[in-house]
Amino acid sequence: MQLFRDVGAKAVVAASVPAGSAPVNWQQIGDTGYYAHVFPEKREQVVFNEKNRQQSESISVEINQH
Amino acid sequence: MPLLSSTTASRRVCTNRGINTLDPNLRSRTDRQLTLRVAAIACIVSCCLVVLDLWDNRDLFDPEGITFLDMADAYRRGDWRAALVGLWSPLYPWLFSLMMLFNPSAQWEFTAVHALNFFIYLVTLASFSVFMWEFLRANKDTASNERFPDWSWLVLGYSLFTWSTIRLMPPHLPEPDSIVCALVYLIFAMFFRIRRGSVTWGESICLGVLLGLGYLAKAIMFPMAFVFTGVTLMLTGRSANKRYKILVALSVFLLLSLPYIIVLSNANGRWMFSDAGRLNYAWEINQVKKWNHWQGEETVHGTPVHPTRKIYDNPPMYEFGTAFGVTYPPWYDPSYWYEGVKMTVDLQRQLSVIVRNTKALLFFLATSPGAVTTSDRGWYNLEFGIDRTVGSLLTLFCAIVLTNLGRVSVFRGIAEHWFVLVPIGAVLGLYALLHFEGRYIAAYVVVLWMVLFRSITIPYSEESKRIFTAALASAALIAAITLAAKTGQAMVHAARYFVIGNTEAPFLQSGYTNWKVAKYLHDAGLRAGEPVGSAGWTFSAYWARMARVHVVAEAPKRAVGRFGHRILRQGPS
Repeated sequence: MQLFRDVGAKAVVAASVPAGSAPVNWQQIGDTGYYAHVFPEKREQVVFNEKNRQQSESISVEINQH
Repeated sequence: MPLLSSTTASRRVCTNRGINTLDPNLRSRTDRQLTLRVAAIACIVSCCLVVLDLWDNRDLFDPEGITFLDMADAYRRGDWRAALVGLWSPLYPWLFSLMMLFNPSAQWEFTAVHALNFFIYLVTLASFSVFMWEFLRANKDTASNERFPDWSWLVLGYSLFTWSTIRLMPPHLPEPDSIVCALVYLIFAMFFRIRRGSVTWGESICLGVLLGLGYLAKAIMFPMAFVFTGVTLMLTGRSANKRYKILVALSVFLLLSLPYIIVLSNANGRWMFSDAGRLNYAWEINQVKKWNHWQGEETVHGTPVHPTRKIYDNPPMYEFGTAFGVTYPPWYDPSYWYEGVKMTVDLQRQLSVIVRNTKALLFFLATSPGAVTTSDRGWYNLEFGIDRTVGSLLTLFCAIVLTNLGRVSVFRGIAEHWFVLVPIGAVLGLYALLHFEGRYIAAYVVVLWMVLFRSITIPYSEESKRIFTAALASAALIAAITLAAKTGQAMVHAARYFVIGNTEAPFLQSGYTNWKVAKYLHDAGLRAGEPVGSAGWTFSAYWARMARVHVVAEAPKRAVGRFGHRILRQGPS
């Protein structure tokens, strides 16, 4: 998925995925048989990454303290 | 074995259906009225069946349709470099450009394409009617008691025409073959006229225009134009005046086709009238990876100058966003992606392709018009899914030949139609060299069956005339029933959906499934021109055209299938 994102794709659409085989973070588009994932905007992604980093750091601190 | 003695026949001919055969004027008028009535009914039935089939398949489209729409966009904005594509001919995209003058929204664009296809079908129907008119006029040269009633030929002709339209080139497919059919019917109609000795200056100019439009609709018509012109020259005989007129036809054809050849060659940097032959040769004979993502796997076939960029090996993923700002670049201009391919002569493979295609064609002709259960897909692509049975057309043809054995020289009858059979043989031969599908040969197959039946059916008595007329009508009925049964099934399914309340699919909108995907992307914030990725069979990513987004990378279907949706399971990052 990162590869799609790296080439600039804003979303990925997948066709003909058997029911139940797609991961939860894919959105099934009605009864079309298509699934889509829309990447978050770059700005949101930065915030998302920053939160992840802080969370990871706090977990590392906790692990170190233990 | 005579069907009925001629004395018995002559006795019955006077009392046939209460019409006094001694009054030729009355009989002629009655025949003409009957002919017109049958032609009108046949046209209405044909229209109804085509409309129902189009409506039933309104959710379906074709990958080339996306390309033609993108080409139409390029023509409208004057982007000639992008519009002049080697593989695809320009006439159909030009019609799309005209269609876009009505400003159909993205939601209704596919419906507009289907409406345009229906309009083209109506033009083809009119062209076929002209052909039938000339066909029947040629029949008039035969003495009235030695020919079959016009209505039987009309019923056979329109049934075969409708069958070829629905089964071989379904009107929901955005392909230029229907335009080619319309032109081919008119060219054959002209041949019948010329054979009767009529060539005016207007007709010769008209022939040139038909040949020129044919080339602009589909590249195969360029070599075929010379075949058609050659046949016309032979038909006109030794009259110098008529030959001049045929030269005028050739000049008009060149006048229409040369400007496009020059600009196409200029845009592609080499002389060409089309790239279809070169690419199909590479795909079919040299077995270079078909259709997209050729990476130059086998160096013997050359190295791609600008291939799609492989960004992942296992499963394979490709990026191709930089070359064209279109919906799906790999299928927009295959000439670009296959630049660098080297063609090598491979006689063994060529022979095997010819044998394969000939076999498919013979099976197709032998099984025509096919069973009710034959899938449209099987007829669309002749290589697959054809029942190994003998069809009704061949059965009736053989029955008539055997009944007439010893009385009619089958070969002489067929040879008399050389002016139709030579072009048909030429086009089938050209396609057999590389690749053909049902839609490529739809008009030729209809004309072939018509002239074959015409060559072998000569009545000897009123009784035999009735029997052979019944045989022709049966052939027509069987062809029509196979269509009507299929359409009936579709109607029942549609009615069932409505009854259970599943009426979400709009009554008239084409491509509704893809529209839902496009709408989802719009609602998620994607705007026109933005890049997206695709996993699966991107050729049919009609949603991308509707959403006006550009597919810039894909994991093809085989990759997604083979690796158990690995790409999807990795989840968004």
